[in-house]
Amino acid sequence: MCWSRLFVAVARTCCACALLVSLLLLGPPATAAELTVGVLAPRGEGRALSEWAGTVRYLNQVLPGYRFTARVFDMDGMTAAVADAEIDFVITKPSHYIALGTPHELSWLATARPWHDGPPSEAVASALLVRADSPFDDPAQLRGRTVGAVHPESLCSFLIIHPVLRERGIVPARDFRLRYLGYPSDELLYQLDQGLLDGAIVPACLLERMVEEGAVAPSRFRVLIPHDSDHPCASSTEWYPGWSFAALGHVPADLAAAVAHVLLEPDNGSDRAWAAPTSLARVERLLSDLELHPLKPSLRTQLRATVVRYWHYSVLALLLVLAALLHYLWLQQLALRRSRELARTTQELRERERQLAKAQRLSLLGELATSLAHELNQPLTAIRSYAQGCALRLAAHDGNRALLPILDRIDAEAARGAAVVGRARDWLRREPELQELRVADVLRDLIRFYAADLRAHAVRVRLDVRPPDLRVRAERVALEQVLGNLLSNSLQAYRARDGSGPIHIHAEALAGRVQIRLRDRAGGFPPEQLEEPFRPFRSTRSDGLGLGLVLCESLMRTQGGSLKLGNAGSGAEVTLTLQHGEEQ
Amino acid sequence: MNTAPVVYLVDDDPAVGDACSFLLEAANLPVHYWADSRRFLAEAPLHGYGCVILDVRMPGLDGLAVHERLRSADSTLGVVMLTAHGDVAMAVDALKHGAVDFLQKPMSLEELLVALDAAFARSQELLARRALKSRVGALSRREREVAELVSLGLTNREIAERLCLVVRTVEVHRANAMRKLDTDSTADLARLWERLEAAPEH
Repeated sequence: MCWSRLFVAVARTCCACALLVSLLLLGPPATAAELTVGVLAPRGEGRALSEWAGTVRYLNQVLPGYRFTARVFDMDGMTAAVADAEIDFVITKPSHYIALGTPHELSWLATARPWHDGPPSEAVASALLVRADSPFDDPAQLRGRTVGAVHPESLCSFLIIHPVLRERGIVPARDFRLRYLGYPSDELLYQLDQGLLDGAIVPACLLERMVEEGAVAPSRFRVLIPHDSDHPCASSTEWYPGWSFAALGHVPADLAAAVAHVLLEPDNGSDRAWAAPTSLARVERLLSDLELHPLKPSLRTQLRATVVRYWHYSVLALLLVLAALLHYLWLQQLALRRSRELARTTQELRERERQLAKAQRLSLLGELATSLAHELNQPLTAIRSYAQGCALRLAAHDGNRALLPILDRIDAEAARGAAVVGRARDWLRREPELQELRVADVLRDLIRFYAADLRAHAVRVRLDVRPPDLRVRAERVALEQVLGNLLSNSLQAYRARDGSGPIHIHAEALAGRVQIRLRDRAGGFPPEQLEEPFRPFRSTRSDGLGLGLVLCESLMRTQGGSLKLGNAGSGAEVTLTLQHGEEQ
Repeated sequence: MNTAPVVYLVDDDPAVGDACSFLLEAANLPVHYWADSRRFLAEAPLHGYGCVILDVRMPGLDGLAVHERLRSADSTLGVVMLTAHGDVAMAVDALKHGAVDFLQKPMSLEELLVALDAAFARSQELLARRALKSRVGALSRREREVAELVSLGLTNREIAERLCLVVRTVEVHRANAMRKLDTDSTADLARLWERLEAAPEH
């Protein structure tokens, strides 16, 4: 109990001390304190200083404890100075004031009365001027023409005219050839006068003031879209409040109040009259119209703020987008790989097809030569035998001996013909290159190769390889040729009957050899073909050469195997016998 | 062996058959031609003195199959194969199985005559072996045992001891065997037995 009372007492004392210290720190200074008044200078430094010099001087007179100094800034410079609290007061235009007031605490003390003695709420407007002798009556006529302005971001001289022009379907940046001449804005009138510009967007009253100063003649200019008001200055837009005097947040409240009091004195001895601060509602409306309002951020700014505020959702969304992107890229990659694989497979298949076709051509040629050799050798044998027989008889009967050399020549010519045929046959005959092959692989490749044909004829191939790893010693291309020929024979047999059915291929090891049996249900071989299976130039098809099976037989024979034709059930049964893979 | 050898020609091509017959007749060889290999096997005397010229490629039974049948029938004909195909592997196979020659069509008369001479010799050999076999086949088991031991150079006494016979019995068996085998000396018998042993079983 006792301790708690003591604690409260101590706390009270400490609070009092702190209050005292803060009062000492914040109270009016004993010596003249330096205070800086930042002044925006739209019409040049000298002009700005002279314009506000009276006010600053009067403040110094009336408030002796302080020393006010004016410092000139452009818009960006003033914004920076306010942010760094380099200055204590500002005199600036309403739009800039709104921009400044947002992030920094500013107290608005007074609004300047316009120099023309109008109401303080009607201090700023913009005018679109053309030369009085120009043909332009409507801003639309200025399309594509050179139009001067002060600065792309200057509100009271340039931006405030935008809504008015927009009503007439004109967007200055799009429709005019804009030239920004910068401050001072007087230059606009000079250049317009000299014909360097076709039009000029200027702060209202600039013309009237320059006329009063004798700088230009009033008759030289004309206002386009004149705004109907009883204001002494001609304008193209509404009127907005003018320049304002504000105190920064760090300025003590009593000092701010004292300055406001001085400014609002009816006759304060300065050359500018000040009035109570006016409403900025219309300025704000204009700014949001132009999407420049610092408190009503643009969609982009709002979006950015939302993203920052809900950062975890944003990160999540970003991750999702990223994941989706990665997924998409992955799919792309996958598709690319697939298509590459497909291309490679197609390429391989085409290459195999080419090899097979080449082998088939060569074999056919070889078979043709062999068959021709055989067919030619028969009559040549007869010729030689007759000739030799004649010669023998002639010699024995002691007849016309003069004929003997002729008969010898007949014999020699026949032998020569046989030699030619034999050479062609030997040249086309080649030694097979045997290798060990997995029967299942060869058969599966074969089916893959004939897949399209098999599908087209609705023929199904059933494979039965026992054991599955059965191996043969054969020449791959030759074996493929034989199997391919047999398969396409079956297909053609089915087609000839306008039917379809199965093809069974059965492979097994039998008595140290490998037997591959192909069986179909397509009618089988005619009896005369089974009688002498491999006679060349006899085809069951009108378009056939009659060498297919002859070729198969000789291909099998060169591989050390054999081929047997037969019928089984309702179809053909062809039996291939090959060397077993393990025997060397 | 005093009869002239006969040539059998089997070729499915009648032109070749006719021409070859014409040639062989000109060379004073009796020729019999068949265009059908099955009919040849059915009709021709397969155990005479002579030679068969076989075309390899024929419908029905081809040359190699006919050769196979001849061997299994214990034919005494010499075999010459003809091919218009030039198939080396087939030729080797045929020669391995006892064919005398393998000629590539169109063959010359000289080649043919050389091959035929060899085939006739082969036929004679086959005939002799066949005769020998039939003579050996006519021996009784004892006569055969005795003859074998005689051919090995054993004396009658040694043979009697080996076979647990009296010498006299051995002498009778020996005489019978010599008579049946148509030999008149021990050396002759030994040579004949040697031929029998060396003869391949086809």
